[in-house]
Amino acid sequence: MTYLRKGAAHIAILSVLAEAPQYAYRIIPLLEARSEGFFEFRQGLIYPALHKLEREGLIAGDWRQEEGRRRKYYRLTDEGRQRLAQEERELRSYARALLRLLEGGA
Amino acid sequence: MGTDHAIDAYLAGLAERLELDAQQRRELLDEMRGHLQDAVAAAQARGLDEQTSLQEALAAFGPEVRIAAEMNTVYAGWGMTDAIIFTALPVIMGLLLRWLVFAPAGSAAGWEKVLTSLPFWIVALAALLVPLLRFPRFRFALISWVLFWSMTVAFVALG
Repeated sequence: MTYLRKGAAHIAILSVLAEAPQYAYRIIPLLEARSEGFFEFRQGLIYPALHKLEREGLIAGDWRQEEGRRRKYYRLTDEGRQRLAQEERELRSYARALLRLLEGGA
Repeated sequence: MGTDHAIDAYLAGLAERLELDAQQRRELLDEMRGHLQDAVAAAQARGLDEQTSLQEALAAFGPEVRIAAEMNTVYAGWGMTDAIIFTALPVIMGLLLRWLVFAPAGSAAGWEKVLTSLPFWIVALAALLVPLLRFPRFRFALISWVLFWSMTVAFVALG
């Protein structure tokens, strides 16, 4: 398994939150499942990533009380949705170019 | 040691290294406490005993030194505007006092009179309030205020 680099981790988190609001503990298995186990996340390090995204206004947190615990659910903001779409476009274009390069050199 | 005590001990170690304000620290630790409790409960549901579940949860969470360092980086990051305010404000306020409030020559003669001067208190208060409202941590505001006073004293003494 591979640890996600910081920039990629932020995009991965935004993509998970694009589907539904989640709290940190639930985001980690979703990230791992979506990458089919390829990426691994050190659990405690999701907090700096989440708080950075929150400070940048890309996600917002709301506290909820459930199962006897207070949980902070994060949701994508409009700005976060726009950023995700932009990052996705750039990543796809980058990957396509790189693949063309590799295939051309084969 | 019970699960909750062990989690609290881990979080206390992390909290010691955090350079966040009180509310940010409290909310972050609440979040992490719930996370670790969920992780322990999930491990126990898989049949592990309490101690093993706790060890597994803490190991998966990661070293508190690294997590605290990353959190501090997130909250310590200053924008360009903050950096400009932090450095320029004490200088501007010091100059304002020197030329607008103290004697035109900037001398310290009769300095006691400034204590009854309204413009003096407005400038002095602004020098404290602007950074206090702007910066997330009050100590930066205090440092800015100390710089302002140091410069004011230096301007007058050297004038």
